[in-house]
Amino acid sequence: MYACQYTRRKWLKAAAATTAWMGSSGFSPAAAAPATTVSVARCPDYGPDLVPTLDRMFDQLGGLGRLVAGKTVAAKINLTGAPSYRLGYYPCEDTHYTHPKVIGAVCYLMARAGARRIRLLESPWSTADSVEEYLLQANWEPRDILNSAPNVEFENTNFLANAKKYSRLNVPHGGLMFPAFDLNHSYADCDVFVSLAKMKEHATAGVTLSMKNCFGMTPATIYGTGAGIDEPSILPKGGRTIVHAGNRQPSKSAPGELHPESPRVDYYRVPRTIVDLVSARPIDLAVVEAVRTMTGGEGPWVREKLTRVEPGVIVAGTNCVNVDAVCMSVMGFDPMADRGAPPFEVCDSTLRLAEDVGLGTRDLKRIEIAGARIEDVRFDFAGLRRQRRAAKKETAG
Amino acid sequence: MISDRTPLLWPEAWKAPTTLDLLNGTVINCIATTNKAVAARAAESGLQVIEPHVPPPGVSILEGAIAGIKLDRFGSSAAVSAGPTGEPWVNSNVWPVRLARARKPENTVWIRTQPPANTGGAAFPYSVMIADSALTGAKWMIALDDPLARAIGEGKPAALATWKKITSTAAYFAYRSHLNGYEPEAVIGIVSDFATSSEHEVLNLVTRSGQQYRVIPQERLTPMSLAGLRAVLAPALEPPPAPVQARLLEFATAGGLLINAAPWADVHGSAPSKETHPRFTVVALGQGMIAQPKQPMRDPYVLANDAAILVSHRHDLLRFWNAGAISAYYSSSPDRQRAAVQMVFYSNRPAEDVALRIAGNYRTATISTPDAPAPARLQTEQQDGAIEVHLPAVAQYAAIELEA
Repeated sequence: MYACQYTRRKWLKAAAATTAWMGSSGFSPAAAAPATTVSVARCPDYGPDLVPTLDRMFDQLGGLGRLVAGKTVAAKINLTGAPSYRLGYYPCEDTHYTHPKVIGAVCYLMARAGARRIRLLESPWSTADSVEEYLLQANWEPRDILNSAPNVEFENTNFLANAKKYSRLNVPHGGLMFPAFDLNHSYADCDVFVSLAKMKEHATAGVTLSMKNCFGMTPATIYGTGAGIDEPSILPKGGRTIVHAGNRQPSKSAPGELHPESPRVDYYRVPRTIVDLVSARPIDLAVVEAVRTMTGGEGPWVREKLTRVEPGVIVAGTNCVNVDAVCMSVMGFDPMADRGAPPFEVCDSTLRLAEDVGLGTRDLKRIEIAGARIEDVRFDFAGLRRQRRAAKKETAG
Repeated sequence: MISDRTPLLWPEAWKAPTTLDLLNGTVINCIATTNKAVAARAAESGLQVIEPHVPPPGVSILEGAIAGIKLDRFGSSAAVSAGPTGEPWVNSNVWPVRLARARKPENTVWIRTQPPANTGGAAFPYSVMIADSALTGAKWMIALDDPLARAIGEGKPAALATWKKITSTAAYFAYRSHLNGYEPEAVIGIVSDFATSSEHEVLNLVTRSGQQYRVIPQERLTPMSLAGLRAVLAPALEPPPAPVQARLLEFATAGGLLINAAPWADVHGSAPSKETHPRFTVVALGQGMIAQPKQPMRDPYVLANDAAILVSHRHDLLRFWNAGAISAYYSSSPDRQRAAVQMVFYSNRPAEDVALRIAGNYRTATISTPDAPAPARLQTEQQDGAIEVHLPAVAQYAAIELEA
């Protein structure tokens, strides 16, 4: 478990400085943050009902055609952790990877809606090998996804890959942590960007939903354990320690941190970096699936009581903050929660920070829900979290 | 030739011939010692006595590594040393044993390695040494660190318990020597004279990558040695002799994939392949393909990993989940009706929730370990051309035996 060396006083000082800076830079208050329709659907399994369910959800959002017809679509999927890690004996897709059936169904529907090219993006753990080879190690059949629609392809975005240079994506609001990112070209060379995420809790960020999924856009060659000092390394190695711990700056070729004096604490750094990332590369469509998923953390390596569960729900929308707010409510958490309240007991709320910079509202009163009512699909991650923590306390006591 | 001997490097601390009584009821039937009194008494008892540095007929002795996860020492603490991917670095004798057996199949291989200076009396490092050697049919010449040997000699209960564990582990392997007659299952053959440390490191790293391979010394290369392989890797930075080249090109022309660590002159494919790779040019050659490096592949890690990718994980014979640092060896009986997957786990904590996909069509699977030697039936999940098995918690070694 991470031991926090940063005092509360220092933290508050840093947070206040950030707020003051945001005020001086003319940010709109949270009240003006966009509110859109979010679709919620019950989907008990990955069987034949999956495609019609997603089809209906996209219709509730105004139809995919207006978004993707004639466009190059890039979709960030979630394949966190090495493919050789499972929760118990369960396949990765049943617990912490975006399910291949969901990926295939979304590709199919986007192609049917006229997408010209569909590029599936992920930065797989510590490798420059192709995503297809990574999937094979997870016991997936990449052809099932590649054949779900014409012109589907994968790209490993954990390094430069076949591009000549990294693409610089600026953070329009100036940035909370970074003013801009150097990313694999795929995040710039697309007309539409989709976050295709799994609904989970997260050890560092409280929850991982459509926004946290985008943390994996950062190439480890610049932001990872083995990143080059001056220039990006050729091959990626390890996780994104630079962003988590702030123990050093990214490769000098990429923009450095805005506030090197800010806390070197992942609970502070990760949520802010996520907000910067989804500001730099806006999400046009967010799909968060929890047909099957896990409670207790984002992957089998988290030291918590982890359980595979079947909430049987999918949430989708065109505003990532709105979607994540609805997801939190589906999970039994209050999307208006700030640091100190579950699931942000020790970290800052990515949703709050995103709302503050005007990306979208997390206020459910302003978000229109289409499809199922939240109460009808709620799966009580929050209750299970309370039980786990109470049991832990009891054991410790 | 399969040896039924289980050798012990006689500890210097065991000076009295009466210490031979410690071998009663164990499978140790051969000792290596220069202690004349002990040697005489041992010979009277029917034990084979050998000189420590003179291999008996039919045996090749290798100076091996201390098998296990490599630790970096920082003062009084120890940290795990990481390999190129950040995973723990493992020292293992698997590749030297496989190379020695490939070079001299008629010989049994013994590993002579002293254990770490002080194992703290724990059985774990000994279990790893025995299992790592036995995985591919070798025997570790059991060797005790001095403090443990003295404590055993003095009859201290904890030390005797460790001794019992060591000898019971050795017994498990002595009674399961039928697996040593199985032939390796492989997707890739590695063909070379294995004259340089770079080629040795490729063998080491292909082992670590989890690929199932066949070691083929080029002096023993025949068309039969390549039978059933999808690919061949030529890891030498100098092209092999012309007859070897010709045989490997024949393999590719007939439908295989030939991967070279250095470009071979005068090899021209018939057409560019659809396969692309950042470090290799892949061209079609007859019905197969040849992958020529754009630059000589001087980094054994990159070469070993690239070879796995060029072959593709699609053809993995074994896929592990939750196994941690592991060596695995998949082999089949000559009639191919039975097969075995043997595994060494290098962590000192039991491996839990390990799942394994084994390519092949099998009806039944059983598991045995040194702690539970009686084969126990495993549930199998049939997949397309493979089965998946879920292992119970296991310590350092497990063998899954399969029936078609």
